Amino acid sequence: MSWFVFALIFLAQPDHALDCFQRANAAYEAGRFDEAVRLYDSTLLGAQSPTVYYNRGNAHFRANRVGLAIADYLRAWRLAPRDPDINFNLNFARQFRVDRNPNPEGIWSRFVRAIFTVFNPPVTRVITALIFFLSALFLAGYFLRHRSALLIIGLVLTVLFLFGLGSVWYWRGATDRNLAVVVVPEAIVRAGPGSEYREIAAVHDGLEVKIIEHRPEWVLIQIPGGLGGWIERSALERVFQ
Amino acid sequence: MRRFEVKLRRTDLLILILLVNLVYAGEINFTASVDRTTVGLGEPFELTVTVSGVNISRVPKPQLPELAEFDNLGVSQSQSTSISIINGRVQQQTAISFVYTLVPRKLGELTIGPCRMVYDNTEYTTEPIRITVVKSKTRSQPRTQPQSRFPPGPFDLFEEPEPEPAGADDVFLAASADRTSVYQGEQVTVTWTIYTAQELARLNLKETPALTGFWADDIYQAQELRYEQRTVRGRAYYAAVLRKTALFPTQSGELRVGPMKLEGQIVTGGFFFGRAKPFSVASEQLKITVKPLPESGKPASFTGGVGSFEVSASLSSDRSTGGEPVTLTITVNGTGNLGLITAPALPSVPGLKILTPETKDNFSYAGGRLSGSRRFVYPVLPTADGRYRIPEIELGFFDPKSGSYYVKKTPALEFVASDVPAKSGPVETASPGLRVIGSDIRHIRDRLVRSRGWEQAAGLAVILYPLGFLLLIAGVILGRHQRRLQLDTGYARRSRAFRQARQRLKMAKRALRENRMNEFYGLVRQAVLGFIGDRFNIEAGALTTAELQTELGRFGVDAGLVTELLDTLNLCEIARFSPGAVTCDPPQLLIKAEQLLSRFQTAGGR
Repeated sequence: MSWFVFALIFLAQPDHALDCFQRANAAYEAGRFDEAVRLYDSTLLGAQSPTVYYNRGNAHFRANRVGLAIADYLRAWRLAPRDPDINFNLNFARQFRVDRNPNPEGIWSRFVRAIFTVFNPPVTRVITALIFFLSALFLAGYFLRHRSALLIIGLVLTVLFLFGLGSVWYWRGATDRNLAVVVVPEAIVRAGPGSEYREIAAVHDGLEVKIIEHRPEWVLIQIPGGLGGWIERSALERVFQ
Repeated sequence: MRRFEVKLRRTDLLILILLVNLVYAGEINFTASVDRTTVGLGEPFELTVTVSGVNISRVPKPQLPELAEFDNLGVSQSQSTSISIINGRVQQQTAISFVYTLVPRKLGELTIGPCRMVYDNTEYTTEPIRITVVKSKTRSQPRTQPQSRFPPGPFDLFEEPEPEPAGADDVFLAASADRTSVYQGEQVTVTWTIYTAQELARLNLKETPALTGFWADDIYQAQELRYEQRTVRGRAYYAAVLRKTALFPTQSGELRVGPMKLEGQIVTGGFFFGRAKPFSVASEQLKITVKPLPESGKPASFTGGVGSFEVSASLSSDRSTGGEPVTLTITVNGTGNLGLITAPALPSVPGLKILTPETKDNFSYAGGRLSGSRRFVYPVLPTADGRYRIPEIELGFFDPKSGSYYVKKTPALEFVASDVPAKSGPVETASPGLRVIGSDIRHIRDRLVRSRGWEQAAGLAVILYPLGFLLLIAGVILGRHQRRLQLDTGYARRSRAFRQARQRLKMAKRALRENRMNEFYGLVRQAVLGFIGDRFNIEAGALTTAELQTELGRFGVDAGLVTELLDTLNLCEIARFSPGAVTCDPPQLLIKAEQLLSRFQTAGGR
């Protein structure tokens, strides 16, 4: 009896997620995007998955919510950084923003991003730790046996380890908890935390900003161009967590 | 000066790719209007409050005046935006309408006071509006339906064949169709006529006919009844047309036109002493046989047009400068189901973005058949300089008279684009509703891919760092030790000294247990002496007692310790060679030897 209950708990959980997922896809295909979003939400309670974020991003995009779509594509990208569909839709959705990024990504930063985001953050951390351990192993072996082959392998592994550290560091910046997107059609950035302060700029759905400081109703943000100001908290959604 | 205007609804939310600009509040207009000024008691009407202006944003909801004499059924909001680019400058004209549905509560002249709104620290008010509320009329049709486009003359209305009475003798309602077998998309005109031999009062439409499977367009809706004398089966009636509707079947098969139900009162007995008798009549259901359009010979460019049409196309201009769009208009002209024709598929032209068309209709029912024009207006955006050619556009139609398809073509059109801004420019607009042809997001995935538990693995992997460090430190220390063992004999002897001595003492213990006393003393002596030799890297066995004493003194060993050592060594020698003169018990000696070893390990310099 108990094994049965055990099996039920173990099997029922993913099946529920899968069921939600399929119903959400059906709602999406039928054009009921808001319903699809709700079902993807419940799918995410049962399973962390890049596919669900990706599909939910599509549903948001179809419902004209570019900001929420970009946030979901970024979450999916964090889990599956090499996935071509996710990258395509992320870039596609970014084109639909009203506010253009004043300093678009150059070749160099694209290259850095490409080489540092081969694996998703936890895999990167595991591989980096393994490489460190292996390089320590080979170097310790060299100190005992004094074979130059051990030294060469150890040094190569050390270089790889430094590269891995770079990747871990890059991911830390790219998935910063303070990254947020604007999720309302238009929001006014002000000089202080209150609607009585002077208006500085208008930002629009989908703009990616960085949160610098919090107040209960207002947050201080930095816009990619370097401009900063206070914005109502409800106009933003954090991308990660 | 050229202008480009795209009209759009808020729900379409055309997103314009503009730079982040400061939004300047322009001058704004604030107006209120009602859809009619005379309404029946209890009848809803609409109050529209509109805010419009250039570059306005975040308009607050206007404040309505005190409306004690009205019920407010709710508000809906709509927004229209038009973008004009004048000499490269972008102007965004926005009109936001708040539509309130109000119902008057009492009769007479009522006033809707001024609405107020504060925008950008300025207060705006509207003019008050006067409403006349009258007693509710018996309404037989919803107010939104169009009034008769062509007030038909009496002859016009009665051209249909004489209908069969519906059974009732004094009053009956007849529905008649001008034809009962048509092709899908071909017009059928249905007329509902009331016949009466008595005076009628308080007519009320109970049920509007169900028109499933048709696209219906009213030709005539009676506002007041115009009776005509007619004779049906030998009896004189007054007849009045209630409604005349053009139906266009959107599916094939046996379609039905549902019954119309009407109720009212028959007034009998003259003007002054009349009695009213309630009655209720219904028209018969009509059957229309709809033939499907033949599949054979259907052109690829067929978009649903059934009738006789002509097609033309034009461009708003033959040149475009600075990335301005030109407008391509395709006009379908003729008689037939104009309202069911959809936009033709346009060939894609490299370098041109052809946006979703706007449809503009101009319909009429001259002669009882739907005719007029439907225009598809496409904004066309050049993305680079050059001469562009929009090729011939084909549209296929079906002719129900001959029962065959035909194709009409427009001539090819050309225009020249110059000074198109490279890649960008404020006109490069796109929105989810107004999609760029040929590119869209990639489709959703069917297969649920779950993330594996790498997060936990990453948490565990952290212990690899201290492990690696330990490994490195161990490697360095062991490596140094090994190197010294190879290069420094003293270090090598020292590092094995204690181990060897312990081994010898162990052997001595065994000898003692087996009572081989001679061997025992020898081993204890060897262990101690060998340890001293290894520890100080001297040949201790070859030295005399005195030499050993001076040698150890040279290494800075405490003189008392040296004396103890020599005593112990002597004791072993004596016990070994003259067993009778034993002065100590062997276990004591063993303990003593062990003590000496540990004391010598820390004694003296290296």
